[in-house]
Amino acid sequence: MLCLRSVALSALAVVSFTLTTLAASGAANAGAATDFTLRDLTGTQHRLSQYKGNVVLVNFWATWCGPCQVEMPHLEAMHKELGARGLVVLGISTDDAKLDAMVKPLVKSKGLTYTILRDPQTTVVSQFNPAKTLPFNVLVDKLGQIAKVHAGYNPGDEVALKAEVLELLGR
Amino acid sequence: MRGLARYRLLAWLALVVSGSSAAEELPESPVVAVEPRVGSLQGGSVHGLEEFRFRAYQSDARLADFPDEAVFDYQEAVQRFSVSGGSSLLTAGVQVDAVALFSNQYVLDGALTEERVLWGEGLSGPHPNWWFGVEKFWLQGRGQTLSWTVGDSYAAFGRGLALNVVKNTDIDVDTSLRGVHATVAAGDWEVSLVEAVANPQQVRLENPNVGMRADRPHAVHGVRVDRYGRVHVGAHAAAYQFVRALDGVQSPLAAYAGDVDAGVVGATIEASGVGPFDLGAEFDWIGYGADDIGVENGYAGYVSASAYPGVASVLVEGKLYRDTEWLNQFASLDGYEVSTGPSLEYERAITEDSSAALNSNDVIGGRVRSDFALGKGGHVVTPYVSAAVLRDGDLGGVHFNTTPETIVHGVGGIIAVIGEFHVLANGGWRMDMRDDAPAANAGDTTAHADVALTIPLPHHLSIEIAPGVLRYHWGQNEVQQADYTDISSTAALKIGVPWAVLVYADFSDNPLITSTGNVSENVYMAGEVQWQPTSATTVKLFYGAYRAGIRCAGGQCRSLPGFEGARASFTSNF
Repeated sequence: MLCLRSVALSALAVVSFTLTTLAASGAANAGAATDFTLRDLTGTQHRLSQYKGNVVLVNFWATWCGPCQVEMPHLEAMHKELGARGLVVLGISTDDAKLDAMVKPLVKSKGLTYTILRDPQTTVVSQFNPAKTLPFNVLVDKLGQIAKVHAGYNPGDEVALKAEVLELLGR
Repeated sequence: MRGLARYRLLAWLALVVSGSSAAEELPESPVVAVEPRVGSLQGGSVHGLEEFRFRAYQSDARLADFPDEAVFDYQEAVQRFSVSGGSSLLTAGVQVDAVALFSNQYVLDGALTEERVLWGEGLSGPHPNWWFGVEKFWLQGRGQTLSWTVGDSYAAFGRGLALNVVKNTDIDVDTSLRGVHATVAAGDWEVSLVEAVANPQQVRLENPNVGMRADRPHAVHGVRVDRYGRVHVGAHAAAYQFVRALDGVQSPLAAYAGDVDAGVVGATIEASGVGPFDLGAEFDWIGYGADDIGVENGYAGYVSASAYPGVASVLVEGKLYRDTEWLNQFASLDGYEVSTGPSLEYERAITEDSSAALNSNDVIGGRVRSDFALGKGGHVVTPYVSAAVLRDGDLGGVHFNTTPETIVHGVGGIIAVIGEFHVLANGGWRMDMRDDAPAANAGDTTAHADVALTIPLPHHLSIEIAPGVLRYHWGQNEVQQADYTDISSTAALKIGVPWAVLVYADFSDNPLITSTGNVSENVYMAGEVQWQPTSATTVKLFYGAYRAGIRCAGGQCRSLPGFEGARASFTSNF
């Protein structure tokens, strides 16, 4: 039943599809970041647009995500080093409502001092990262434009991320 | 069979065109010529996601009359394209899903027949081996006080006991609520309203699509009021009207014709800095109005307390759930749940047996967990210990036990980040002790351990090794099963950022799973190449097999099928 012709067509379609979408995504990997409002762990509202004029690193994470926890110390270091120069780190916990109690103890145990927001209804992560890949970073420049998107975390990613932040801060 | 290539080509073209044409409509990046200032974000925004999967399924099964032909092999292509865009005040979005099966037809005695039915009950399409649909659409408005969504959205109240319908892509569940979801925020006050019907996804991205059917559009009505502050209090109410059967095409408003089947009222309180503690609590009362639910009411209580002495973070939780899972009785037929409260379970080690306790209608218990943060900066070591004790009195559903049981589960682990050297390790031991067990040590036991180790190498290379093992031993039980061992291992060589080569090895002699290995009956091997041409794009090529098994995430468990064959996946955020 296996039909070589259909397999060849399939391969052709995959290649053409991939190239088309790659080209499209490359062209569109910019634009204004969609505004959002979320509450932090004290209940205070934060709106992305209130940070216009700063470089904003929006980091999506979850308490059960191992690579997220590996990445966190690097984000904290970046926040401490570059916060005074205009970097704002917004860590958005995508844990759903049932895991709410886990968030603050994890933040405390990691010693995180950057702003942690809650998105228990998966509203914001659905807009920026519908696949819910974690961790997921969106780098927003001083004008509110998306400068870069990073999916996942590999050792050394923080070096590239910091270089991009520095470039945006220097603009 | 060759004549069917025409249909396959049409299906492929449709898949490709639906993705590429949408992508081509994306606007250029706006040029904003203003000085930086605090205020609204300017210019149009576009966010999107393209996910494409191609799976070639292989099977060793043969027909007696065709012993040399792999007649059960087939291919499947799945595409999911999501795009949203708009201004700072208004956003519109759409998600289009498509799936096509290939090599799924044969001619027997002159009649063209599908080997497996792709779609049926309540769905329609141009071809039996191809289906596509607008899975989700939404229009969102964001003001200073009022934010609203018309179309598909997600909603959760409190800790999720009354309503919790959110994305759960870890187990391929993406049910949304289609209707109106509005939130008014004024000062410390916030009021949310939900009036919608359930919209489960038809197309599964990571699992085989067979026997797709139309939604059961259960009606969901909800309201939640919050007052934030040092003490955050909230109250909510939710009501459900469930659709029972699928007879032809369902009207999206079909549920509204029936009576209210279940209603929930509840309240939450969270207080920070009460002495050394952060405290939280929720209580919900559920009333059932349907004869086929079997009980008249239920209730759920949950409390949490955390403290941070020295380098430790301590979290204590307790729960009492009685007849709460009936809320999910009808939604679970379509593989999702409308209510998922805190389970206090370690979901990575859930088995067929313990999943029953996770979804119990009569459970009380508590868990304590303490993390210890050692080191700082780029060198942080965080060991943790956790212990849970649960009492499960439910004997129905998928429970294997005929008497109540007491569950004890201890877990410990460590997360170490030492520069680019990372270790994540967890290990635990669990015993489910039934009341009728002849001895205290005659319960079901589970021992489990998993490690993820990242070792940096010169020249931008790194190695990741992630072995995991679970050993399950059935105690003395009327429904006696066989003991089993599950092993899952991954080894990855990462070459710079863009490339990774992975080898997967699984073993399972669990008699309850439905797959068989490609190396031997219980052994599964696979290899994968990953390529990240951009930071937001991933291409994966996989060949081999992985095992079936139960998987839990976000308080929901699904028994997922195994796989043998080749798989290509493409994911790009933009």
